[in-house]
Amino acid sequence: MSDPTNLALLALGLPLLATILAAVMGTCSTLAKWAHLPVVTAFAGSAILALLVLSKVMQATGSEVAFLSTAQTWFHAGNLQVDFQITVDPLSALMLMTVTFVGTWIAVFSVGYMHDDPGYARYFSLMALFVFSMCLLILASDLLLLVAGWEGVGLCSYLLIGYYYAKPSAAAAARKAFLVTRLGDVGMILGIFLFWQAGGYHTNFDKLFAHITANPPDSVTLTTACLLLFCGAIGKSAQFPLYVWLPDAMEGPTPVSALIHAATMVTAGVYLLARAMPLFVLSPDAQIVVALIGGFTAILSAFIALAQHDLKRVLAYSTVSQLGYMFMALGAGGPVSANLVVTAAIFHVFTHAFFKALLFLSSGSVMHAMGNVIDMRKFGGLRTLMPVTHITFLCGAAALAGFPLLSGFWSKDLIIDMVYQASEHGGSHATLYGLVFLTALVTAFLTAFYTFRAYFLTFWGELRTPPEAGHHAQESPLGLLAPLIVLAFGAVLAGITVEPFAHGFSNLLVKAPSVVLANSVLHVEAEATHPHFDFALAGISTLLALSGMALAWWHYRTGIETVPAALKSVYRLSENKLYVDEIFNGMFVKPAEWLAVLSRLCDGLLDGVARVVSFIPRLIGALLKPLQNGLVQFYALGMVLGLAVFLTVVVVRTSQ
Amino acid sequence: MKSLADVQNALLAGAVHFVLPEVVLVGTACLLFVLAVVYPRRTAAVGLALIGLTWAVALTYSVGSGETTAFWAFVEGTPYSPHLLAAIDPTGLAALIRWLALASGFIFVLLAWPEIQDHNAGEYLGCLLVMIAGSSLIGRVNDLVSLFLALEMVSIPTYVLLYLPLRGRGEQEAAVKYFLLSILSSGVLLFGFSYLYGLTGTTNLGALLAVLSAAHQHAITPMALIAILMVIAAFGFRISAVPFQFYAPDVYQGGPTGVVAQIAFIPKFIGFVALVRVLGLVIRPQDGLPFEASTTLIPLVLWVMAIVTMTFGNVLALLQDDLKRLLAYSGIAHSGYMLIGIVVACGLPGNSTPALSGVDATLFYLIAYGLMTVGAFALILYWNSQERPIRTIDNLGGLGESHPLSAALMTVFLFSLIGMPMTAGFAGKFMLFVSAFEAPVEPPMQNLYRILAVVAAVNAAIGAVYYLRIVGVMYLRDPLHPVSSARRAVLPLFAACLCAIGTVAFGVYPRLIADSTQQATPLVEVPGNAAVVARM
Amino acid sequence: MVEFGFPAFLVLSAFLFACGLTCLATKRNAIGILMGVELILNAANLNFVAAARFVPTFRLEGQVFAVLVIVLAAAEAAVALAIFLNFYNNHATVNVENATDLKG
Repeated sequence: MSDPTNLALLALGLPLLATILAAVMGTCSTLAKWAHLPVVTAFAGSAILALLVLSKVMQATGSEVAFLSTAQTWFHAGNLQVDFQITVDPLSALMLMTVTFVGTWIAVFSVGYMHDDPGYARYFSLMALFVFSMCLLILASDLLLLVAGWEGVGLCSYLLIGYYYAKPSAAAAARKAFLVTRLGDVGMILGIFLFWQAGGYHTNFDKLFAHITANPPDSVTLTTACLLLFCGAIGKSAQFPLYVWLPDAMEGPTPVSALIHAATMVTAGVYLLARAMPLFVLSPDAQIVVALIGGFTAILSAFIALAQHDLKRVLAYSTVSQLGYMFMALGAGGPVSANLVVTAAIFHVFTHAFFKALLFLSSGSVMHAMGNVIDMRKFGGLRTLMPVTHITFLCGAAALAGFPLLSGFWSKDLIIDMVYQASEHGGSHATLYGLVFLTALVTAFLTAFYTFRAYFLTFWGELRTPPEAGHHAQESPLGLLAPLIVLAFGAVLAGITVEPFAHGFSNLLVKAPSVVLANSVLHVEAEATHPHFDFALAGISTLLALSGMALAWWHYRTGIETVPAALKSVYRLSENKLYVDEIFNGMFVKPAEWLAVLSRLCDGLLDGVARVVSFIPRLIGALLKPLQNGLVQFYALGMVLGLAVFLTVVVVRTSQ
Repeated sequence: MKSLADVQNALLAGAVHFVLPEVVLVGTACLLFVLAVVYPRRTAAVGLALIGLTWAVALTYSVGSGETTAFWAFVEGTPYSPHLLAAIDPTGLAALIRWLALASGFIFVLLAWPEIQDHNAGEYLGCLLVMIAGSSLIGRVNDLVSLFLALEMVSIPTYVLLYLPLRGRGEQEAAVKYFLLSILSSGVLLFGFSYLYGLTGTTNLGALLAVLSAAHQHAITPMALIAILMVIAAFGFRISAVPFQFYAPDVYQGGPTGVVAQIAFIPKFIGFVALVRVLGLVIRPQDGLPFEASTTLIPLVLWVMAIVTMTFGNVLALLQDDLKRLLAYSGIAHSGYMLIGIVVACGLPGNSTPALSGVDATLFYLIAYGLMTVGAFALILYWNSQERPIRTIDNLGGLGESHPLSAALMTVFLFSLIGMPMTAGFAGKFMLFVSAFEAPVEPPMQNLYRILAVVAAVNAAIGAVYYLRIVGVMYLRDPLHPVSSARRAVLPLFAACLCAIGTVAFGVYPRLIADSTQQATPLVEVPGNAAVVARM
Repeated sequence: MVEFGFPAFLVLSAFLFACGLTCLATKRNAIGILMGVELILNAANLNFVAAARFVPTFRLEGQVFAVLVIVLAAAEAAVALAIFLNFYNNHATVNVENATDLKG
């Protein structure tokens, strides 16, 4: 078992085995309540294996580190040869580690959270399948194998978001998530086809990258293909304009939100772009689009998060916003260097996995105690009632807000640094990168503000609990708290231990073959570029974060929502942004509202476009329906006329 | 050396060995018709039908690849090509088609169980076996006469099957409509055949195509075009391609579910197989395709047909509430997808050798389509009962809770119809797209293949909406009627399980079937092209 | 005896074919529609027989084909009568305009 690929295959196989076991246990009612056992064990086993894999990768020497398993032909059609093969390189090892570790703790939390749910076994079976698909996506060494994992993740998210399927809103949310992400997937598949054609009919990552970098296609094809690939990432990672599914995805059980938002599904897009860095660095235009979309998404969703009442929705929009940060970093690859931006993005994925999982699970703990009420107006002052949850939530919130020395601070700072450097050396796109940089700063301020608004509203002021809470209104049991405590340590310490001083990530990721290749395309000397710590930038971002937190404290320390009269309309726009009709409620007056109006318009417009687009096929259908009028002579006539048309056209064409 | 007449006589005398399983099936059918009079019992009839099928399988197995060897042995030492002489040609697709026909036969016998009573069991199963024999023959007949006979061996029993249940207005209306339109398509086909015969003076398919492709090196005669368009129109009816699709929704909605399952698969199956054979796509004549010449008309016609068919099926399926009618439109849409492979295969310019023949993708998709559609009909049959009839989609409400296993199977079929990865539906769509994208971008078709693939992708997205609606109703809606306690026939459920296993297995590991479809449609060596892909 | 030649038969069969189609599209009576179809089949038969007579490489197949089609047409007519009779039992008419329950 010295070969890390065997360990990784085992780590991949365990969740699959757990899926089957849990599903089988679900058929027997006495066994069903033990369905968590195989799943938690498998996740923990996978996490340990992933750790071993990572240590093997770290021990490996050489400028490029990658282990490939023996290839098994999975699919063969013409020029297309798809092998079942997994790659263990620094990138996949780090992601695998993050996913399995956070996944394990979410599974542990679920045991307590879902304890008397009727679909207990189904839930755990799907969780395991979800983690399996995600691991497959990460380890795949072939684009199409990645797509298999990618679609598996989509399917599981559909089933998990719609877990409470008796609830219409959950069903609608599940369908929305499925259809919206699928829209992005169509683009991605087309992008893959384009690359496949331009890349010498390879879908294997290494071969494809080697071919494309050696014989780059013309820039239009390349940019189109890159952007189409990015479409998939937009859908999966909830970027503008396809972010709309993610806030609704809160309808699933809270641990599912934690799993989707923190560790797995949404990071798939980031991972795809990091993996495909050699392709993206060839196209500066695609890169700036990635950065701009990331920046726009970040600020848009941060703005929307300002006034949400639903605690989980605040966190959902913050996820969208943080993902925007990751794409900003990835978009800066060309002007800076591939290894630095990948380090920044993956580092943020890593810290984000900790603090966002922590925040979701903490809010789950709150929800558990409040009788499934999640509206922040209905409770408050919980810090005396739920002291442990309060502390863990605070850790997560501070990390998210970028409080100095916590994990989120380091990773976000690294990204801001990347974007700043890009604006310095961005070549023709320098101004645009400057814009992205400003966006990143503003978003940092907004993030601190909305995070702490949620924190103060939930935990400060007088103790208020909703009537639904009943006798549940107390601190959650240890089974729920243990994962919170573990993740809280992660959220506090995960940053400083790796970057920017220890260079844990950057030293490792610079050896990933795709990063090496991307660097060689950019003519970057990888050895010379470690992320350095820019004190001026860190100072600015600290200042922004602290002032955001202070502002939140100033407004919300009483735990009651108070809005200054001057900002009331802006606030309300942000609050109601999902309700299209209220856009017309007299909000067009003050110039200060235009930003808010715009962000709402985007949502409404997208909704409208979606409606129109989905209406067209129905309209065509309704127009064609009279053809099927049930009259058999008409049918015969139709067939004969069809034949006659074909005959006429063809005979006229030939006789010309 | 044997003379031409010797070879012809030997082939004629030996032909019976190439159709033994079909002879057994027809013989069993005759026995069943007699049994229906002498001893009208459902169990006996099903038992006899299964024995007949098993015997046919055993014969097919024992023949193995021996029949191809025997076939070539007839012409050993002579310069004649057996493809141009024999009436029965067991090479190429033949073996695969026979296996598929027999496998579908078993599934359809299982599906027949709840629909037959003692008094009509013999006729029903007898007709079914004749249909199976006919569809198995389609893969190997090499003569217009026997091809027409094989097609009618499928059509006429279908009329009888539609008529047998004798139940309500819907069934009778469906029978009348199917009969009248089907016989019209037979007439048009025959007229096309008569022109082909008149042009070439032979009814042997291989010889006929060889003559046509030799004559069409530079220009194509209008007469041949008219003939082949009529043939395409007639097969278009079988595969329910627009504008020959009209019957499908009405017949599916009105007909008895078990028979509709057969109509959803067998005519499509034989239609596509016959089409690729008549277009010369399986055993290509030496001089290139018979209807290719310098013109792109036939591929263009099929291209238009494919696009219109898939779009028509999908947009009308969006508006349907009746479950079987929805499946009919979905079947039309899937025919459109399957036409992609045919378009690719018959539009390839003569001087290039493609990596994929296109026909193999269509065949693969045909198998996947059969599994998922027949599986879905099997479940409708399983759920349907007197107290709780399954007519509209709303009738499926609450099945997710009351029948978790069968609802899960239905979900598998629907996901496969959508084209979710890890299902046969995805693998099939994928192969079709690959064949469209791999086709050379040069005259005569230029970018048309890619446009076709893109339109198909958009259509697949539209399709997802109505399939997901069914999944939603099964799991989210409350049942309209209380769950009936009546005992259900488990045989359809068993058949659905088999289909689901196939759907998932061929999706996860497509090579299981893709290898056989690729072997069955070998790529031909095109003269003047050095880079010939050898495929075993 | 006057020798007409192959084209004359082709024209005749095309005419028969067109008659059959017209009959098919205009008749309301199921039996009438069936007659139209029979006309089409016979148009094809005429082609077969004429081709077998006039094509230089004279072959028997054309005539065999025609005989086979006649037999099949008879079988189809038998099935047709059964179906129409049944339809009549349900609808009290063989007018296919009344068969429009299934549509849309």
